[in-house]
Amino acid sequence: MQPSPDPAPRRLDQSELRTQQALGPLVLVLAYVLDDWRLVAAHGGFLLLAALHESLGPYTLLYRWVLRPLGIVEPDLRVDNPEPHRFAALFGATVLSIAAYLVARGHAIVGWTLSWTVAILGGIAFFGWCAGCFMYYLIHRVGAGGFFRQAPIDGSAFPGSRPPRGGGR
Amino acid sequence: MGPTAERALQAATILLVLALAVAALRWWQKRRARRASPGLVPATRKVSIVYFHAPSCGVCRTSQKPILDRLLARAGEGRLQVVAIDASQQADVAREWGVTTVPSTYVIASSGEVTHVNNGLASEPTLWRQVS
Repeated sequence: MQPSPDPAPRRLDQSELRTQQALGPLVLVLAYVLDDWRLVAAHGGFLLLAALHESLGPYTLLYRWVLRPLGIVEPDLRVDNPEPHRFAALFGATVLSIAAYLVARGHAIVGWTLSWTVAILGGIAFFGWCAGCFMYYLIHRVGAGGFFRQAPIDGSAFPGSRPPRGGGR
Repeated sequence: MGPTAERALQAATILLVLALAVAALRWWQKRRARRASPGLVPATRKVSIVYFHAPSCGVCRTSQKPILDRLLARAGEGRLQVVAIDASQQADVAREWGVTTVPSTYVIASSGEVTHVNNGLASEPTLWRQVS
């Protein structure tokens, strides 16, 4: 698969994404421990905000306003597409809203299973493979246009893998 | 035990099981590699890296290979050797070594012991630490 022609490669701060991928699962585990569906719903809402615009996500704001200025986390800019990450956040938000609803309605096993699934996938994304991005690229591969027009940065890499440092198109 | 403590214990158990599953995979890969390495890695006093790649793997070409080249230049060929295996051409060898993805790198000490297994892209600092 050839990458989409794009004369101006976009760079995403991977540390910003990793902040969300690290803190999100922690919130979901905390929600399970406290048996509180509202925390699941809250994290779903955070993901929805991140999907609408990356600068709206509370984890992004935490990174930009606290973690980066204090030097706790260093920026890690890499050539990447923002759309797959927004899709992943939207998908996560959808699953978590279903999970929160199910837990709130008493279907705890199904609800918590969904919540743990999102937490584990978030943890895997932290270590370099984003399942939601993989889905985005699969949808792109079947020929969907519009929002799904972006091909993986490295066309032959496994879809959803974090782009390498200094990678370009 | 209160319900919160009980759920904390459950969460810890789930996380522990996941960590154990990852550790078990690594142990299994090391075990397979230990059995397979004498036939593949030339007996020298050097540290060896067995590098599994494939032509369809872009990260192998654009990232892992340059990292290994830089590492080889930094360590010197007298100290380090890289054995590259095309997993698509030598699928049996990859299976024998328990390769689950490309790129994969196996670090073998000069004593022949498999010390590290990296599934996926291994950065230069990581590999340098592992071979040092």
